[in-house]
Order: sequence, then structure tokens, then C-alpha cells
Amino acid sequence: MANSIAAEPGGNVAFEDGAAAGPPRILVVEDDRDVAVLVGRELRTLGLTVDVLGFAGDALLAARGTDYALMVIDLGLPDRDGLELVREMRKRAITTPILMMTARGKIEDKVNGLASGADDYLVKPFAVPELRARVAALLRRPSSLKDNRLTVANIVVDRGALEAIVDGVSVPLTRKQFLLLELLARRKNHMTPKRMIEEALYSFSDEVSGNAIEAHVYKLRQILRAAGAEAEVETRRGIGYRLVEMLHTRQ
Amino acid sequence: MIARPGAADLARLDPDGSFAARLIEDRSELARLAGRIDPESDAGREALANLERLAHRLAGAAGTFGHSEISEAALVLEDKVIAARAVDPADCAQAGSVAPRLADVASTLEKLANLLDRAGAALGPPAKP
Repeated sequence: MANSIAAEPGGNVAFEDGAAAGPPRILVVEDDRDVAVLVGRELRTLGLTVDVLGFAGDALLAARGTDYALMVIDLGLPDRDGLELVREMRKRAITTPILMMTARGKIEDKVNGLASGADDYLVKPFAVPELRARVAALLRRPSSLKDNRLTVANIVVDRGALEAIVDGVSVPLTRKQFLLLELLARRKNHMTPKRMIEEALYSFSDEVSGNAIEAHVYKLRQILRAAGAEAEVETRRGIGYRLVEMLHTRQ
Repeated sequence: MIARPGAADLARLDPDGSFAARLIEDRSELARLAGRIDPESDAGREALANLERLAHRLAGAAGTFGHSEISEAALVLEDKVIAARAVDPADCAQAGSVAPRLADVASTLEKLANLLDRAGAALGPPAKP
């Protein structure tokens, strides 16, 4: 996240080095209409863009398709338990910070919430200044995970660990396959010309056979399919390749 | 935490009076459910489940809008309903604990209803937008 955010005494926020970017986008998942309206209104006064949803299923879809800076999720949702939703998001490699909100305030409830993958916990009833302070604190946090990881559908490319993870499971790749996946994930949904792939995978002194890139793409595609990846490498003859989520390929 | 919200809190937390209107709706719903509680029938058990959900939501929302007394009473009601629902009326060993737990629910429910009545009277009709 390029923006740094801080709650000021007057309730406003200060953005640092975020002049070119828009305001952070927040997803609020809360089925209680009044609480959802209140939370949305308060966060908008901080200068944040806020989406409000009432169902876990909708939230999962939104989280997969939108780059949220933070999600505020209520534990008791009508279609699914909030804990399950958070677990599912983490399993799908959605690493956005999550503030869990609930009326269950016992120690074991908080521990369960944090263990499921939430980053912080806010017990209802809460005071509005506390909500704003916790949101601001989470948005200030350096998101080291996000910086080192690229996520496309349920594929995570961990550039720090040089590891590819599909649906939570590590997938063994050769160095060139990893570099190819990393490049395509970095340029997700955008065509990557063959020449650019050659430059990423080979040094100037390497001799590249005529169909080397096609062979790497073919193998990577097989591996991703076998691992249950929900994104695939698409070929556009004469243009290049791109990694797209299955949802997009079906549309 | 204040027991009830002051005018300044209301203006900030509930500027259009929608939460005040919701308290009145919840009061009616409590009365409706109270008349249907019966752990020995499907409809009665469903009423208990709905009462638990209503109490849970009210516990979280009311306190956030400054009605801490209502929130605390709703939380107690939720616990009492959970305890009542945990009893299996068909189980002879548990049969003796059904009536006292339902009595707990009824007395807690009455307390919450009184608090909602007082809040409704204090807040008056919801403000027009």
C-alpha cells in the first residue's frame, strides 16, 4: 500500500506519499443495517472509500476482485460464520488486513478470531473513536506480506521465499517456471510478449531454442491445472501470454 | 460508557433517527416472539432461535449507538436463551431444568422490554429526514 494513514485528534486522517493514488478502499461486511451505516459513515469521514456488504458470499467475491486496503468483518453473518469467511479468504491467499467485529468478547472468541486469520479484533458494542483508531492503525501497518507476494485467484507467488502456492499448498517449480509465473502474475490480466519472457528467463549470453518459451508455458500450465489453480495461462498467437482468473476467462 | 445517549451523541450516531425507529421495531418483535416460545414445538423452538438472533444483534448494535443498558440486557437475554435452547425437553434427565430456564428468559425479556419502552419514550418518534 502506497498510502500511509493516521487518525488525527479531530478525526481526520493524514495521507503521506499517496498523492498519486486514490484513497484506500475498505470493505465492510456487516448484516446489521444500522451498524453498517454507522461504520460506513464514520470511515468515509476519514476520507476512505467504503464498500458495505451484508453477506459472506458477496464479500468473498468482492475481496477476490478488488484490491482492498482493509476489511472490517462482522462475525455473525446470515449466510456463513465470519470466522469461516476469514479462513476461506486466507486459504485463497487474500492477504488484506482484517479487523474482525463481534459481540462475542470472551478471550477464547478473540483468540479464535485472530487464529482464523484476522489481524485485529473489535468487540461490539464499540466506541466510534476506537473503531477509527483501529482502522487507522491497521492501515498504517507495513504490509510486508503484500509487498513480497503476488496473488492471482488462489495462486500466491511468494517472491521472498521463491515459492508458488496454489490453494494453500506449495507447488514445486523449476527456477525458470517460477520466474515465468512471477512475471505473468505481476502482469496479471495483461498480455506479456514472448520477448519480455525471454528477457526475464534468459541472460543475453544464453542460447534460446525456438520453442523454449512455448515449452515452459505448456509445462507451467499443466502444473497449475494439476494443482487446482483458479487462474490459467492464456495464449494469444502472435501477441503473447497472460495469466487470468478463470472467472474472467468464462466471461 | 454512558447508559443512554445524550442529544449530541444521537445527532452524531443516529442523525436520521433510524436506530431509534429500529428500537421500536425490535420492541414489537420481542413481544411477538415472547408469545411464541415453546421448546416442545417446532414453531416455539424457532421463536427461541429468532429471539437469540435478535438479542445478539441488539447487544452489539445498541451499545454502539450509546444504549449501553439495553445492550447489556440484550446480552444477558442472549445467554439465557442459549441456556434454554441447550436443554432437550425430550430428555428426561434434563426435563426439570426446562421450566426454570424459560422463567429466566421471560424475566430477562421483560427487563429488556422495559428498557426499550423507556428508550422509546425518551427518544420519541424518529426524526423526519
